[in-house]
Amino acid sequence: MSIDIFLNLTVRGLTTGAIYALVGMGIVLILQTTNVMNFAQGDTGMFITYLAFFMITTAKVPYSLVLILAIAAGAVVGLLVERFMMRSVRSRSHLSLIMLTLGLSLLFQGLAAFLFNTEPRLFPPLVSGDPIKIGPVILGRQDIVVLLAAIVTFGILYLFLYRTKQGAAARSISQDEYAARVLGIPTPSIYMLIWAIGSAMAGLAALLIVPRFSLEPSFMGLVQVKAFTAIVLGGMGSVFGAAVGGLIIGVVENLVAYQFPAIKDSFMLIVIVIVLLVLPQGLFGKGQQRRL
Amino acid sequence: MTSSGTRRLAVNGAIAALVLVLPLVFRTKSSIIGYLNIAMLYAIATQGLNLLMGFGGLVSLGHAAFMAIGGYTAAVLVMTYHVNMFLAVVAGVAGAGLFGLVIGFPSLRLSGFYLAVATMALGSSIADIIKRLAITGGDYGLINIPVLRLGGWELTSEISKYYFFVAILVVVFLVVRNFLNSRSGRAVRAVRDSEMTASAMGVNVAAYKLITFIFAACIAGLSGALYAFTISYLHPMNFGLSFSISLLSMSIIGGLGTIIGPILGALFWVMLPVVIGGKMEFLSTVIFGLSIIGSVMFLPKGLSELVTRIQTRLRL
Amino acid sequence: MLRVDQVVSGYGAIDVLNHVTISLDKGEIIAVLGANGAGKTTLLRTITGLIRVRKGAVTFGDKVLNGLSPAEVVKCGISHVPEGRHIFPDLTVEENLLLAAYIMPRSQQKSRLDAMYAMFSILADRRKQAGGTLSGGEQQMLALARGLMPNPRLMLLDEPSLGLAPKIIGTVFDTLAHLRESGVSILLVEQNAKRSLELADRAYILVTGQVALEGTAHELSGNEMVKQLYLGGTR
Ligand SMILES: Nc1ncnc2c1ncn2[C@@H]1O[C@H](COP(=O)(O)OP(=O)(O)OP(=O)(O)O)[C@@H](O)[C@H]1O
Ligand SMILES: [Mg+2]
Repeated sequence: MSIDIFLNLTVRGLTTGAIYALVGMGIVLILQTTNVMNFAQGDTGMFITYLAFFMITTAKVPYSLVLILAIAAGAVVGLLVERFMMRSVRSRSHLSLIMLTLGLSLLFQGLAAFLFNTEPRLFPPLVSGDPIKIGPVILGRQDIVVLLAAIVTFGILYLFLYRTKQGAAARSISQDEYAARVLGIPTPSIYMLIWAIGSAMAGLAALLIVPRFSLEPSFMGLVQVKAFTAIVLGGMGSVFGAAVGGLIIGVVENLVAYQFPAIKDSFMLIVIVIVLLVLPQGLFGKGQQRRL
Repeated sequence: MTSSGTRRLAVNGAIAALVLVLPLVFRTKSSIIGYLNIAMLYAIATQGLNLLMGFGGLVSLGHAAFMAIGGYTAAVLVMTYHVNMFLAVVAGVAGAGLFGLVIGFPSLRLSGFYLAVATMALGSSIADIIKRLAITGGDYGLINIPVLRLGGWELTSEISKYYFFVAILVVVFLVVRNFLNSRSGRAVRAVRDSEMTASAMGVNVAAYKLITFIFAACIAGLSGALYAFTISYLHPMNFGLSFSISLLSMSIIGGLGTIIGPILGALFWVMLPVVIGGKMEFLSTVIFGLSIIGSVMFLPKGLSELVTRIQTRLRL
Repeated sequence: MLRVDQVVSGYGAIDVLNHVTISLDKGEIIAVLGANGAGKTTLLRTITGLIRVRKGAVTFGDKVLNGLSPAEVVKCGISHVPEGRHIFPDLTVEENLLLAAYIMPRSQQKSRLDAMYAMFSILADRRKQAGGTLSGGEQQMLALARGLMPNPRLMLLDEPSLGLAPKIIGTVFDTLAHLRESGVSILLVEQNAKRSLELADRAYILVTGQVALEGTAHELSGNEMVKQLYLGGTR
């Protein structure tokens, strides 16, 4: 592998990894604060992408506005999910909560297929035009947008968690939910807020990645699997870990696919088994407590 | 015998009779019997998942992978290596169990979340792994897999398969029930109810979780091997992540931790799309999603709870 | 000021408190004593809205607290320092304090924070340190400061001396005496009956979810049963 190819693969891997990071950060945020492992994260994004697609093609809404509307729609979906599903079953077992999110994911897939049919569609990229050459690296414009969006999202999330009182409250809940309630933190509204943010991130991530695939009800499935792998690699516990894990998975996946195409598809499985065997806490985990 | 005991016996007898007579009623409609057969195959695999989730409190998002491993192992042994069919089924079951060990061992030492993620990774990669192997027929799948023989009797007609599956289902049912009533089974339930109490009682929590998981994988392997020798066709795409999620949904909708749940769930899953019809195909996915949400929120024992409630209402 | 009137509450199918009646006047310190499992913590949780009042009423001033969320109860001027301290281990001392005044506007938070640092100088020195790295005594001070952050009129304290060295227990009780001066009413749940009765104006003895005995601290200190059971007398 020449150095140029290596660089190109790495940078392109970073852009894919940025998507895994976005999905993974949303999952960790929800998991750590509300104790729900959301297996509907990918399909929430998928469903929102369908809504966005029809805003663009049928309602002819301008793209930039669609992006904002889609993120808002994600937030609304998250609010509704928390308010009408998760709230009443919060004290149930992890297993019940996981099953609930699986039901939700199936519901989104069914709705997408039923309302919009399963025929794959081409989703236009946010920006088009010739790829840009930076030194030896050739990068599509959409890829640059993806990278920037991931960086900005990470920044906003960081500021939210460490500079706002709602963010501090979310972190406190992840450490000791009982104490948070004793102190008078309005935990229900924090849960709603976190579901809104997490689901909005799902919408954003799906919208950014969909031009790579085609829009169909299953397109986020594999992305979600990789996001979960990233979370395990990052240590399950921290948003930061999920971000780094996502980037690493993106890059390594690209390099492996080039160098060892035979193990390309079982790569995720191998990563998970190895991480669980030799590094069960992940790269940044502090044990199994809920920590943001 | 109390009168309610007699009544129960009568109801069970009636159900048993119905099960045995049903195919004769649909004698001319072998497609319906075909659907019932598929449902029973799924119910066998789901029985393992039900054990895992309902009694073990664990989740597998990649259970179809164990079916695939069981099915492919058995089929390849028979077709390429001309192994005796019965031994091939045993090998399929063992192969699935072995994979259960490989996935379960690293993840079960940690929390249940890790098992969910690891099984999901298995479920999503299994189809591609099989595709890349030459011996499995790759992307073409395996066709013309020999049909199961019992003595001189070949299971070609749907009706013969039907009675065969009923028998297997009963056997699996009995094995699972015996397991649950055994020492290990009680330990498994103790672990589900409270890991802390169980480990305080000296139960090796991780070991029992692993045993349950491997057991569930073996049952799925059995279902896969039977699938291969009755459907006679295996394709990797049939065992992808979405089918794993289907199996999971069947167990949840049918009712976790109940013995008839898997059968009810599998029947519902197979028959609903048939009833709704091809045009509205995806409406059934919507209904499945809603059924899962509804079960978890309002009917934790799923359809079996519904059946029990109706039974009490009718005082059967 | 606080009235707990014939209150029944509990967990799941079990009622832990059975018609408990307790009252507290402004500026008073009352102690609630009782054996393990008597329902002392449950009483505090019921007042703060962490668990539901099943029967009876909890009133504060002229406000009925039944059905309010913990956040709303804090707004009414009641704070709860939980048993076992429950410091957020990965948050800094300052974050721990600020979260206790979640409902307050920023400017007010700031002045409360300064007041706490003035009162507990150890905390001022450790404001950027993670809560989990404090010693047990320091954590208890932080827990007390968290209870004071929202500027409460009534503070519910659940076993503040639990697991502390005698010298530090002394400091804790001194702090409580000091608080009385500043006009905060206190409902103190303790295992350490001797010190509590020295500090408190009145006391209640809780036995399996019911008030078995009540009176002034002085009366109870002289009571034979109390002496035997809680003040280390011999049978
Ligand atoms: N979260 C809970 N769920 C169910 N039961 C509980 C819970 N918390 C306490 N209990 C039960 O309620 C009863 C009273 O407990 P509580 O904690 O109020 O006692 P306590 O007087 O504070 O005891 P201690 O001195 O040990 O703190 C006990 O029998 C206990 O087992
Ligand atoms: Mg207590």
